Amino acid sequence: KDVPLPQSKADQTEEKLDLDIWKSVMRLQVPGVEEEEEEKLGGEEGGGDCAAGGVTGQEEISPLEATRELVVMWRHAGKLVPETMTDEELGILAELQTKSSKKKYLKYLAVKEGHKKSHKQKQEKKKAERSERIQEDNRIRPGGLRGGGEEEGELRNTFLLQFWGRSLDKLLGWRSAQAMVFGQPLVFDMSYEQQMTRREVENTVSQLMEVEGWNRRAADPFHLHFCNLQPDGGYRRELVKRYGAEAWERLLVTSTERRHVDLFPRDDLVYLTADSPNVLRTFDNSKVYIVGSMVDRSIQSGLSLANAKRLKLNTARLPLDDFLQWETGAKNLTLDQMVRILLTLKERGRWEEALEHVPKRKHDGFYQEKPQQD
Amino acid sequence: MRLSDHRHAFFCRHETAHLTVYSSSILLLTMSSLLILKTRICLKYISPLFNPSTAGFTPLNNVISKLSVSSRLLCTKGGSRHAGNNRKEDRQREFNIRERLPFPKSVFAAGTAKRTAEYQKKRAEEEPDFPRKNKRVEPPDHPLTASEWKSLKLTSPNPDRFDVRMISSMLADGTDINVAKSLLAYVAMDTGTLSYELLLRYLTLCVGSGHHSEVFDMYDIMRSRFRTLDTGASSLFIKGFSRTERWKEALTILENIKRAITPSPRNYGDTIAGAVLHGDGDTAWALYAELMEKGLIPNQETWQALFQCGLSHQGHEDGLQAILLHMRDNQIYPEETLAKDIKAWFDSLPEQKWIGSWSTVDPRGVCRSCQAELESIQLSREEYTQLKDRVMGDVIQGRDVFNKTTPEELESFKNFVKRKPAFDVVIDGLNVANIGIKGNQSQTVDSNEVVETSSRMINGNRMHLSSFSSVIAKGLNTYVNKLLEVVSELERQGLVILVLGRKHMQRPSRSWDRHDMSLVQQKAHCFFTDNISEDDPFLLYATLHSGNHCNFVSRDLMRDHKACLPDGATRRLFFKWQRGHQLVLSSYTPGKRVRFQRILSYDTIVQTNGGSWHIPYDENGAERCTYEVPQKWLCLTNAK
Repeated sequence: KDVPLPQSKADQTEEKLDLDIWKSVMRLQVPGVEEEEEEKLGGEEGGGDCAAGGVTGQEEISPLEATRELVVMWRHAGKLVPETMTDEELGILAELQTKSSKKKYLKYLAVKEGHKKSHKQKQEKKKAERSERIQEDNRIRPGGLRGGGEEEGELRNTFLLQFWGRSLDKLLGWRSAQAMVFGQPLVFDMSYEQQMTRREVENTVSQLMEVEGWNRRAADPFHLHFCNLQPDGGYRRELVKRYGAEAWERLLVTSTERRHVDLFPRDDLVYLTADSPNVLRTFDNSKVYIVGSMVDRSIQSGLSLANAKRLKLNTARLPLDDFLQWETGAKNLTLDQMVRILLTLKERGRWEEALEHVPKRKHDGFYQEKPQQD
Repeated sequence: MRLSDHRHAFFCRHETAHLTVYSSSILLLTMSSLLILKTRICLKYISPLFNPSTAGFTPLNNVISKLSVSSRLLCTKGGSRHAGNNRKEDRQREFNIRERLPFPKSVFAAGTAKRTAEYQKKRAEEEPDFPRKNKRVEPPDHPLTASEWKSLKLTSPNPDRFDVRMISSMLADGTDINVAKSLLAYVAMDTGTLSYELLLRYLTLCVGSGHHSEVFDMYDIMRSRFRTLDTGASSLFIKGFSRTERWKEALTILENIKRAITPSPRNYGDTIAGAVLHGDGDTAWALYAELMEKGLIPNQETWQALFQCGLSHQGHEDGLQAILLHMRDNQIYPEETLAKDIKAWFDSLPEQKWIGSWSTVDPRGVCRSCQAELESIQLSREEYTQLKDRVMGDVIQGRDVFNKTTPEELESFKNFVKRKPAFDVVIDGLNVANIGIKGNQSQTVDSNEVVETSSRMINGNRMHLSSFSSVIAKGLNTYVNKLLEVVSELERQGLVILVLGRKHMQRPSRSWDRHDMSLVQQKAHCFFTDNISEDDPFLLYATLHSGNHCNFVSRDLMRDHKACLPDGATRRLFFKWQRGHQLVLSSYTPGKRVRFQRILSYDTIVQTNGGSWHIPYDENGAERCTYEVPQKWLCLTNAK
């Protein structure tokens, strides 16, 4: 039942109010909006073969095609979807079964795209600023060499050449090499690949790269071991992809497919896991600590504890509750936070300093006095 | 208090000691006015006739009110004399698990969780809610001209996406459609086109307010303008079309959705409702079959539509019966509106005289309306075996036996269970021991005892202050007392008991008194798991292994273990078994007879025996948790 239009007061005004004018405006327009969109999304057909216009009379189309259309329309409807998608991404999307998983994946891609875009914009802005500065310099001193401290072609009196990043890399490389020979081992257990999704493996690899970076920059680095790293596994593939094959080969860590229990005496090993009943009181320089390299977005509690139980290893957890007024969030920390805590402990041995690396959002500050030792 | 004879002497000593400690601790608490104890979450029984006026009643008041004047001078807080509920108890009566208790509800009764939560909330300090800042635009109440819209847009604090935000707030307020039209007209004239987003929101407004001709116009426009529609628009068109004579077009739109994704149950529901509305029962049923085939879960409204369809057209009786059986198989309960439609349909059946009535079921499992006995909660032999295997396979072992236990422990447990006779009751030691540490249940300690011990305490006689504090600590935390009381109570009934615990319970400590623990071990069989193992799965298995007569004592709702089971059917089986075999301590008061909440003897599920149907349903407005079952029934009998 249609509601008759009421004679509104606006009708009597000098500006005639036609409520349905937008319909005629829309009807006059020709379809042709999505063609450009289709081009954007890429694809083997190029999106130009839409001879069959309209919804009816469509011949059967491939699921990939249907997925592409779905993304275009969701984009129109203002949902969070990426502007461009590769064929590979479209394939992954088409394989996802549920609507919610599709939405989730699209949102992830859209956010990623947003980051990329803003990064690009910043770069361009910087570039523009730099070129402006150069022009400015050239206006002041035409033909003058740029660079800090050059004054009318005169050389500065300095006892050092500029300290380039390369020199630092060399220094840190020596340190890491030294750690490879004399350093205390720190094991990352890579046996959790089966329990992780592809996304989680990617996140773990990102964290491992940070671990390696933090360790390299430390005054007294650990000798990192990546144990249980399967040579044909997704883990290794992702690592090689992220580091680049050459850099991965030159990386100053020990990566092996052997187990940590085969490399070290069992009594020296301590498996660090948040589920452990024992609290780590002091950092022991003679022990080999194991960190399970795993990201579990779907909460799977007790996996690393089960692993440690299976191999009859000692376990320990960080004394988070003794030092911090824990507020929110899980007590499992990321791998890079873990390695920073361990490095700080190794160098200084003070828990308060080490636990500075625990994210501030998770706790409400340190306890004032030292906790009671039971 | 009656005690079993051979423990009599010990018990007297034990009781008095306990009371001493208890009363003195209360005194100490009141003196230091440490009355604000954090309430622990416990499934305290709250009567359905719960009177809010007594909600503020604290157990301390009750005790204090019974103290003599001399000792009350010591308290900073006076107690009311009339507090407390004086329920008479027949202390001579032998307690029996199966006996009817004064507590009519179990933890599995619908609404218990909600009441408990409300009760907890009332006791907790209420934090003021900060009103969220409202940053939305206010829609006008009459159509505006283009210039008016323009000025409104310019004055708004955030001009970008003004049109979309404006129409969204119109949606929220349910503004008249003409106002939205005037906005669309302004935007169309201003920019020469309308965004899909804007049209989509306008369409939502049209469908919501039932402007069918407008929906048709929108359909033509959007179809000509865009090659395909997104899922949201398609769903809206389906909903809009199925209410009109063009309902058949909704089927075409449904087909188009299918190309990209599986349509939602609501899409199907709308088309089915459309078919039913226009008297096409066959199409409705075909769609329903398709929906079921896709493994979707139909909405209650869909079933309602089908029952209403059966009301106006004969036939499809088998289909409707199949729906009821589907509810039975999947442990789905109809809501009250659907229950009414079901009743109406039964009433309308010709050549059969169905008499429907709204009923409840008495605790013995008899329908109060037709006196028929309902299905028993006991599992059949095959179901039982299946559940036992699943609990062993999925809950205890799972994908990795080390997750919850170790292979050695599992092996020793299996041998232990094999060696022992079948148990009658299995106790979750730690769970029982942890009940009501703070003693926030109403205390009815013998007042004379309290007065006597407290006065003795004040005189400093036979008690040093230094030792006193440690005794208090023990009195507050002595877990094993509760366990011992529960075990003794069950032993008195001549039951074979198994107590499951963890190894740390065997180490003598403040809360695990060695003497009491050894008493527990005398009265019951015990199995202690490692401290880092899970004890609940063992409890479940031991109970299942002992057979159908065996019950278990725990307040744990076992939801995490239920979640380990692979499929819905097994989970429902587990829940049924749990309802029939779990004993929940209704309230714990030190020194008083241990009581359990009654186990239901009947199963709450849609059921028939040919001549009658019994259908449990959810009341309107009542909230029910997943681990609760409805209390109301629709009883249908066939009086031939």
